Amino acid sequence: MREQLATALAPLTDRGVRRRYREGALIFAEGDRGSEVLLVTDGVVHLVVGSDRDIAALGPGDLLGEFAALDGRPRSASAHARTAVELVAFSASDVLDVIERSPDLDLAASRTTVASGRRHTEMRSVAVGGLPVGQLARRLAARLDGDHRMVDIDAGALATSLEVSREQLARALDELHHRGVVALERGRVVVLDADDLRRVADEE
Amino acid sequence: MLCRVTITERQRSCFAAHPDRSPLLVVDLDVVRQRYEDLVAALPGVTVFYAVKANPLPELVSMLVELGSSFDVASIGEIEQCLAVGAPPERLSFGNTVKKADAVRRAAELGVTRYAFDSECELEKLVAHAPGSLAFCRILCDGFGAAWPLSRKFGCAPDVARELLLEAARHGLRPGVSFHVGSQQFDPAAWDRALATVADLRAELLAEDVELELVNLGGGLPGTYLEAIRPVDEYGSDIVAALRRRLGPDLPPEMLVEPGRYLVADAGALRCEVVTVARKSTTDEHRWVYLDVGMFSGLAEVMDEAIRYRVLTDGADRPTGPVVLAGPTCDSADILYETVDYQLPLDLRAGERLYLQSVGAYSTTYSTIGFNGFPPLDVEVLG
Ligand SMILES: Cc1ncc(COP(=O)(O)O)c(C=O)c1O
Repeated sequence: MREQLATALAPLTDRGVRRRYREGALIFAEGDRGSEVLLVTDGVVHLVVGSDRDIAALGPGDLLGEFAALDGRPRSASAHARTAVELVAFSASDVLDVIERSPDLDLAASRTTVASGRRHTEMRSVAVGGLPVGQLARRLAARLDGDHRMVDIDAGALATSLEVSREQLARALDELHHRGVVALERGRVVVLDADDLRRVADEE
Repeated sequence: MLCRVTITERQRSCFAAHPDRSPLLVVDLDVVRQRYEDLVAALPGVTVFYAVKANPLPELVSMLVELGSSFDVASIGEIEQCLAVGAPPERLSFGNTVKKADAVRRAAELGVTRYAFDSECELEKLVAHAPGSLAFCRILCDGFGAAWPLSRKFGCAPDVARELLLEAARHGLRPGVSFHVGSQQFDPAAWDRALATVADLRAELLAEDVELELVNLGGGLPGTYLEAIRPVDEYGSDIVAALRRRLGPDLPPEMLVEPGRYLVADAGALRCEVVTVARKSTTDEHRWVYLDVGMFSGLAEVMDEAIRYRVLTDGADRPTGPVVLAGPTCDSADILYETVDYQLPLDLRAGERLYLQSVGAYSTTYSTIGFNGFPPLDVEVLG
């Protein structure tokens, strides 16, 4: 899937944005929220898990970041420029578009590949670990009132009642936000998808 | 380790020396000096630009000039004020993204070389009136984790910023990026998230052979209000680590922060007086406590109950009950805290004095000039 996608994206570089990195620069970090897919056009990129476990070296024509673009989860490895690097960043929507149009690619199959890829490398999502995402979703779901999508929250009181710090609460809200379940406004949460919210409440 | 704040001995003596002045804000510059020194130590390699808008008292600005601080200024008024107390123009940064062309021209004449912008319209003013200057584009930040997010009004999306910065470079301006993670930011990791966006943008400029010359980390460092906050060295080490990780190993030539609140909030103690205590129903145990200070006399930041000052009374161990706190004007918006749980002594009476802590930021210049006939906030400065 990765090779076919790289081949399909290669002629479309003018739809993406070019980026250049100096040797030693970080391209993205494990745990980041990024949905772009990056096509290396020059140089060597190393993918690293944790502080030092090198899992792959990529070069011109190779693709990185497609997991997050297809499943919306945090980056499962860091990408470092081992030499000076040039790449092209494609938005997730461009990538989905390319997959849909390409006879060699299939979205459902690509997602399955990503899911098994994540399991295979046993990469954990550090950003979500230990956060009260499910608890928070349950709390918000309980306060949904019919069609009313707005839930007023007092971050201080909510953090206290969930027995977490305000930072942890902020990150848990952030997580729901990035999953597209809620939008955040000052002092309140707008539930974008009540079913999704209940699903998260049940799953986590 | 969490922070504590107290009313200093000097502030207590000052209150005692002026028994009849109420409300009275006493700003202790020793506290500001200590905060400044702590911050400089916590952020090696990063220059501190004090956001003058947080508290423009001349004595305070003048002390920071002597300590070597630089300044984030929002208007020609603030520029002239800083220059008047001896700040050289190269230590100023015109951080407001909304400036009249005349203001840019005047600032450039006065020698200011750093300017914020976030739109084509502002960029044109810089090209025309501040040629060769450092033009930093403010990018949008979600403001999440902050008590007072600033997200919607300022900044532009990173793809817009890229085009604007490339255009700035084509016109001979030196490109930079700024962001503000939201004021009273509780999460030290907020800077890392913003810097990830800055790193992408920097790589996009570099792909066009344009070097990013300045990264402005904005304000957002907290003051000590009702919620516990982390000490500044923890913020410092997180921010420095994020800078190295996201922008290393070749860090941009100039990196700066623009703290307002952090430097001055804890330096201000406010004494005020209870004007009326009212019970409005036989069933609600909340009492309404009306003070001689409110939303229109310096405490504008209680809007939406975002900033929650600590309130102290004299005397220990007095049994307490819940209160709503309100100001003295006949405007129904003049309520300090209605939903946040504040407790005050059950025997609280009209005439008693209360103390609000950490009122040094966004207070002295935030009062109306005479709404309902009440004068602006009365301030004493301890140099
Ligand atoms: C451009 C700019 N910089 C810095 C600050 C200071 O922010 P804080 O008081 O959160 O440190 C502000 C506050 O409004 C600002 O607008």
